[in-house]
Amino acid sequence: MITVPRLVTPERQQRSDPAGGWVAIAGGVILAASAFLPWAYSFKALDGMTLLGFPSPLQYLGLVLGLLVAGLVVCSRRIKPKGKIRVGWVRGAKAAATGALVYIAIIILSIAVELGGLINVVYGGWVALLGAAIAFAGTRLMIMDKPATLAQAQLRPTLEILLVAVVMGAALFATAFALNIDDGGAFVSFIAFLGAFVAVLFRVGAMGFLSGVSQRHRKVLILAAFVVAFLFPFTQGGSDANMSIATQVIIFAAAAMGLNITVGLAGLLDLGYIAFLGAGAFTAAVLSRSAFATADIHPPFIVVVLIAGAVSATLGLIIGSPTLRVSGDYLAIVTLAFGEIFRITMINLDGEAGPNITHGSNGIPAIPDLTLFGFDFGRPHIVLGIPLGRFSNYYFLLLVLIAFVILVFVRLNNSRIGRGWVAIREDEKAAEAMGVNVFGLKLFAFASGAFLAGIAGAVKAHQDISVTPDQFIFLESAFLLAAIVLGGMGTVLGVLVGATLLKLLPEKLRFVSDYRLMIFALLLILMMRFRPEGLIPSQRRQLEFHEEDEELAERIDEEVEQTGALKGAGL
Amino acid sequence: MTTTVDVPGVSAPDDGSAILVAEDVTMRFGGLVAVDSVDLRVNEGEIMGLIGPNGAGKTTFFNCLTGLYLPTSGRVVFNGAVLPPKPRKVVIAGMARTFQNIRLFANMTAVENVMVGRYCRTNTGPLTSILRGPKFHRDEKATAARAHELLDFVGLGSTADSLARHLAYGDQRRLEIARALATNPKLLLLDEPTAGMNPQETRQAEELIFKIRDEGLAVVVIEHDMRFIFNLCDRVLCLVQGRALIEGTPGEVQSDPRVIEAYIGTGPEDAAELEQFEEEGQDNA
Amino acid sequence: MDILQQLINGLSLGALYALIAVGYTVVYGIIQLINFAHGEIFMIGAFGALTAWILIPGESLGIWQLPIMLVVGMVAAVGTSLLTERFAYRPLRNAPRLAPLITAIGVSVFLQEFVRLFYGRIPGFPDAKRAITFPQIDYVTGPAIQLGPITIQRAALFTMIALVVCWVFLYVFVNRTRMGRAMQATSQDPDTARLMGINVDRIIMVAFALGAALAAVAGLAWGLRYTNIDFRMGFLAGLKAFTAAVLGGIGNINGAVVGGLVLGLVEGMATLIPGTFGGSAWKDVWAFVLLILVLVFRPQGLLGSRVVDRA
Repeated sequence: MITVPRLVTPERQQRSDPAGGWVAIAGGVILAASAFLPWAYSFKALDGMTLLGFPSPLQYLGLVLGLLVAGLVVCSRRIKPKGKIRVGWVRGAKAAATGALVYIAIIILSIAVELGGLINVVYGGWVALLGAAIAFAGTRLMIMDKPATLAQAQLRPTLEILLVAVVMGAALFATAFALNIDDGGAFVSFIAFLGAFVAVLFRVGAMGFLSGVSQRHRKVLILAAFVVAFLFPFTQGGSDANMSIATQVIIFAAAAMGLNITVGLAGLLDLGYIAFLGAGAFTAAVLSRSAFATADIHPPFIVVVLIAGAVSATLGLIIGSPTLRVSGDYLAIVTLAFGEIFRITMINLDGEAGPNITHGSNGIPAIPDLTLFGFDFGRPHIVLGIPLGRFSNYYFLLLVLIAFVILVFVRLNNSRIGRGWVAIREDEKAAEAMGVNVFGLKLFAFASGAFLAGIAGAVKAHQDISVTPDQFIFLESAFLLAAIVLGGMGTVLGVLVGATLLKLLPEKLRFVSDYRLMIFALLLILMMRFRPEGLIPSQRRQLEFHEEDEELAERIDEEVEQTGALKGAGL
Repeated sequence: MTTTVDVPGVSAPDDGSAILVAEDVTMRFGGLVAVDSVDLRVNEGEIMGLIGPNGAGKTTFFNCLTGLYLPTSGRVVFNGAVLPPKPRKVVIAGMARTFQNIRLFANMTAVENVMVGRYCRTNTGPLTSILRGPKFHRDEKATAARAHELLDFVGLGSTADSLARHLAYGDQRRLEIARALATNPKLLLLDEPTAGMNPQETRQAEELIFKIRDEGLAVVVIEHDMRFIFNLCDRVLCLVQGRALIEGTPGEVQSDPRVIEAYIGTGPEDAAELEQFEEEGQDNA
Repeated sequence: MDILQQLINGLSLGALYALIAVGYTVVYGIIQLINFAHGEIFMIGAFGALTAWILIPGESLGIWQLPIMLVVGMVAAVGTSLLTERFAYRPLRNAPRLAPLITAIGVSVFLQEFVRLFYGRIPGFPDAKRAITFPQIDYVTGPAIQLGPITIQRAALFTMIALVVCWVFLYVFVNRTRMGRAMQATSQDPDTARLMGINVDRIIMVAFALGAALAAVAGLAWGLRYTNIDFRMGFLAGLKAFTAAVLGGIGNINGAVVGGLVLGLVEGMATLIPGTFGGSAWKDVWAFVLLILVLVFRPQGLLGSRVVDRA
């Protein structure tokens, strides 16, 4: 392996540090100033960066990054650490500068791609790049400070709760903003900005602080999260387009959370999970009032949901009982095979190759909208003056669904059963020798995941209006698995983030839609190589994937001593 | 109900009730006979030692006792009932064990490790865990309390929240014992509990095992450290090449020339070791 | 006589599965990785053969056409396989089992998409987004041979002969050469093999290459038999081939061959089942049901002695 000798060694940094600081500040200011210059030749690129003196939103974000770099460097010089509380000013500045450089580079590349050539990048864009590069070089010359220790810092409780509310509100605003971005390049740039911003927060230590806050005010946090999620449809100004995407995302996330019990908690690799979703969907479709429904009974929706869950759970028990005894690798293939059996069977139950239950590959269309307690999900309603369309109705129902799934997940995780699962993951034979019912717990995880998928499938049937076998192909299982793996196995937030990204990005990045599967595949390969525990892993998972990383283990050990327990569910 | 069957070949004193009786246990792996017609009788509250040179079949015999292996012939009677060949059922019946190479749950904290041991003695099911009624909170509190109690018992109270992988080696061994104790066993089997320990840690281990016996448990220990065995055990069984060589009090066993020969041989180059062995024996006589 | 016909059909299909299954079994035997992407290697072998046919006009080669297609197919398959081993799998040699498996899924999708998107971009090559007609070669394809009541497709015969030839080669390689014995040793105990001076990394590469070469043969045979190839052909064939490998006993090369043939026969027979759950619509289901039954009742497979006990 070739090692690149470090250009700026720590010894050099000692000498260059003061100058580095000034250079970084200068770069940041230049970048900030460049926001007022035109960056692109044509208004059509990104979000219209052609005006002198009137920055576009993305240019404002560039300004923010520039000021962030400068500001952090200034703070690092002026503000002295108090007691044990240490803020990672320099670390944050370095992250901000790196992020700014990446951000501007992406913007410039997007302009080039969208307008056909770098020639279309006007002088302001190059000034921005220059500023970012100078800031980056400047921070490179600065000495790295010690990691931030804000985890123990505390503010007054009222202030902390206010902070939670503000952060949630900002998240809502950012999400609404992101969803309304039409331009592909602009969307990617915004994501890059978010990534840079979050990275800065991490390095400065704000994330540590926030996680401390969230642990102290857990109930407030969850309440705020749901209020924000609830308010989301009201920010769409009557448009149902984003809500349609949002409902897809939530169904996907709910299914992924169910899979997270099987894969993330119990460590069982299920590659045929989509079959459980499909079983629930077909059950609901068959029992619905669609003209094509093949059963003559139409129970109320609540009952249908439970039946769908039970059908899937039973399927899970049937498949799990013989195969969970054998081996993890085989389980993957068997579940994959079962997924295919399910799909082919659904196609074959078309009246010719088998009894007509599913109308074969045509599936069951025209599933009517739900009507619960008189509330018709298909018709738009006006609430507080804002019209909420069909998808908004389903959105609220899905919020309830995913709240339920998350509740089940978290409560099972933090219980005797959850401990048993961790023990099984750690050392199955030792767990068995200590009296843990290994087979029973595995089967339970498998069937629970199936049950939750069944429930989600039932809602999906009504929301998608039609259920066809080709909605439940292996690739969907792979996507669900990827959501968990990429987002962070075994954590609620990780899976939510992973599911959101995987469902949202293809919608927003339509200009690469032909390549999306390939990008997905590359993502899988790269993530497994460089960050197998996912974006937002549980601490335990990080330990499991980096067995040899003693530094990591010690750092986590310290945190555990303070908080008293490993952050299992990321909540 | 206990068995008072007169098991031939075992010269155990017939006082107290037997908690574990291994009858004519044989373990064959293909053509290799690892354990050959071994009998063992452990009484309640007794500390039994199991010694023998490497390869004598001690761990294999151990695994037969704990349900990891199903004996090719013979049977194991625990607490009056024939042992089911499943590790989990063995634990529920009241027999717990530790491992030769420590098998802790490395990425769990010490207290979490011990709480896993409580699994088979608690019954908080999924519905209870999801609904979180009063039973759930009671169970969790009780489990955590018992786990801390056991950690204090073995002397690890101060490291309850440390990750198991970060504990000192001696502490890890004690944690394994605490975890095994969490399953409420009547009989505890320890596989080389002092391997790798220095003399001070070994003494602490001795005291701990006496404490455990005082709680009413019987203990079976596999060990190589002769002084440890002879200080600790009420009776000792010596296995050589899969067969029971002799069984008796420590004094009887370590002065038996066959035992000395099995361990050390009788060549001139072993004379120094032989001397030392005899000295240790005299210390304990 | 239907039965006899289906028997022959089944055997020829089974030969295809057998050729692909060897690749799975050999790799799993040494590094315990289910190479999800092996089905795609099979597909790439077929595309490689097609490429040879496109690049080199047939008339000038006469009888050498087929071998050249085969060689080019093998080169493509082996090259791809070695690249995936080197860059996707090797860095994860010591990672927990989940990581290489997911990587393998990623590689599989990547290869499918790569062929689908880029094959047609090379000037002169057909677009791979839909099935491409595979060339027909004289003698190997053409009018079927009639043996009494049975019709044997020439390509099917080719497949079965290819299997026999490959099997003989495998036997000699694994049992009579130094490299083959090194492979056996590594598959039993890699650490000890390393201590004996065996370059385990290279053995692993050989295992991948071997499987890929055979898969390429299968790819060519498939193209000749079914007259078209498709970027998706690897998925189902790969899954079935893995079933065959497990059926025969994972890690056991003879097992892979036997398993492939048995699976092919089962599929052939399944099409004869009367009534519902019979016929060609359900044959895949029966193949997978067989897999599940094997894993439950005889996890070590028909010929295997090693029970894969890892969980």
